[in-house]
Amino acid sequence: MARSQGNVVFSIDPNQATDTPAIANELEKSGVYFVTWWNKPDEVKVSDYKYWVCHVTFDNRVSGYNTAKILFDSIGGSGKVFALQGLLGNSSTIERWEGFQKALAEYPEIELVGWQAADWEKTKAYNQVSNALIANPDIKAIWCANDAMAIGALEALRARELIGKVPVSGVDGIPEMITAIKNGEAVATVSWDGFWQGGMGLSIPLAVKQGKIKIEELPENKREWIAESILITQENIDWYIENYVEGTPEYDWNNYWGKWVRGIRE
Amino acid sequence: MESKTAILSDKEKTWLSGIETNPSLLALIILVIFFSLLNPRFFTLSNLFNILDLASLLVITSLSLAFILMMGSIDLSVEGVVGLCSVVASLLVKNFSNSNDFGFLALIICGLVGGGFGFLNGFILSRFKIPSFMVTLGIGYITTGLGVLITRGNPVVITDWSFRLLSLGKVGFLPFPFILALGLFFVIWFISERTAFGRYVLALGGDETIVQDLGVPTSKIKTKAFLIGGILYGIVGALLTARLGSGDITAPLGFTFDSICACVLGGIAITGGVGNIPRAIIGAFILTILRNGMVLMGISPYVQEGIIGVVLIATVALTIDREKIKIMK
Repeated sequence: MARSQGNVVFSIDPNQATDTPAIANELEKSGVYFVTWWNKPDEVKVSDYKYWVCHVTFDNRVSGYNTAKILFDSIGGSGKVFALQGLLGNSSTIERWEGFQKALAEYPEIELVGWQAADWEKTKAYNQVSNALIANPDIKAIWCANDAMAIGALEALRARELIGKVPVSGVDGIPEMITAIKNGEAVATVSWDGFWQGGMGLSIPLAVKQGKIKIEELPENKREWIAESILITQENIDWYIENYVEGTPEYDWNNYWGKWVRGIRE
Repeated sequence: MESKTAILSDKEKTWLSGIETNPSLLALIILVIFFSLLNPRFFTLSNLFNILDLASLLVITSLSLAFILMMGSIDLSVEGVVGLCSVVASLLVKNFSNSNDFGFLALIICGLVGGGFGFLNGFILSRFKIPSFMVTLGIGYITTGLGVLITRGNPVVITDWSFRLLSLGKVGFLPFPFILALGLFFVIWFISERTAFGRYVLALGGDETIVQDLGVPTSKIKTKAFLIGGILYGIVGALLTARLGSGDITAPLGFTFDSICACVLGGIAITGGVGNIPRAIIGAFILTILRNGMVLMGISPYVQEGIIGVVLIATVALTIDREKIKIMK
């Protein structure tokens, strides 16, 4: 802000919800338009601010639910499943788990034999899955709350020659997971389309600064909203690789609400 | 006490004194019995090999921490150096990001890189008289930063399947990382017990002024101890890359706590001068078996780390040598 003398817009992805108000207040004070992603405290309202254009996040419950369903379907809708949660107490962890539980309730023949917390980390996931396979040698599938843990799980399976035989799901759409899905080792993940995030996160506040969007005219549900995510499975993996890995889709940076799904509070 | 021991046979006396000097070994045995009784799957060959595999990386980092803790110092650079070496290994072997193909030479190079940072730790500590806590913390941040700089934070996926045998390979039924850990254990144990350097390391932790008065070059000893530690971290970094199939600066998260915990659980005093190398290994196995056993028992993940904390305090209370540390700080 100091460098540009206020002639700047920001797109911000805070590490945790508690960081967001501090950042928001600083930018408000300087009259700089900005957009935030993912984390903010629930009770903080974007519409209370003049320069905070939007807060955009993704539906973790839907991600947890969809990846779980794909995973359960991949083993024929029945059998023993093990789960790895992220950092306990994290809102993403809690929400993705709710989605998972919702899917579990719809599959009476799927049995959750146990779950562990691997704190979003590859190494911890490797260790937890190694131990889980001793406790339950007949695990048929492993649901992971993110891709890093899914990769750790896959490596633990590989060490026991079970890779490809026990499907795994994750969330995040990282390159290693894309490869794993292409190889048939994993069955599902969710991508947030980081390219779009990067571009739209700046396009929107720039539009406000240029007067193309009037912030006062934006309804509540366009100030805090949930964006579309991309569910990647073995069905659409080739399409995803062609369009998002080897190529880049055409983006219309003026289509501000193209990926709008609903307001956060709806 | 004297009248009590008078009525014990010689055999019983030796056994009792063994337990007294090695209560952590007793703790390990009790843990194994405890978990075996609670879950038939615990005391099986497949779980044994599983435990050996999971403990191997921790054993190696604990060897380093044992050496350094016995000396009265501490090393907080574990995660940074291991992470950086994991990244270095991944960039040296066949990978998706460049055309290198150094194969197993990468293991040696990682040892050298790790050793380099270990040397820095010891050198800065002894030359500039900065506490090991601060030096190693700083080196930890520097190495983490370097790792992020090199990779822009992205993991580097490797494609060298023979290098991966360092983790996936077996000798008979024993996982290769365990064989490597065992080999390193004997080397470090030998250095600790049979060389003057090893004995001075322990003496430094006991009372540094006495050692200095004897004319022993304490700076050289400290530097050498951290150098050895760094080489061990380098090896662990390479092993981690072989295990996970990629070099990732965040992969060793939690290693510092686990390594220090393992040493303390084994009966190495955090204040120095107390302990020996086998205790670190016992501690590493206690920690690994605790985690393994809790999963097998189905203990809620919400309380698992809390239980480790309780066990840590209880073990320290039982094994700490209160004669040596009269005032608790």
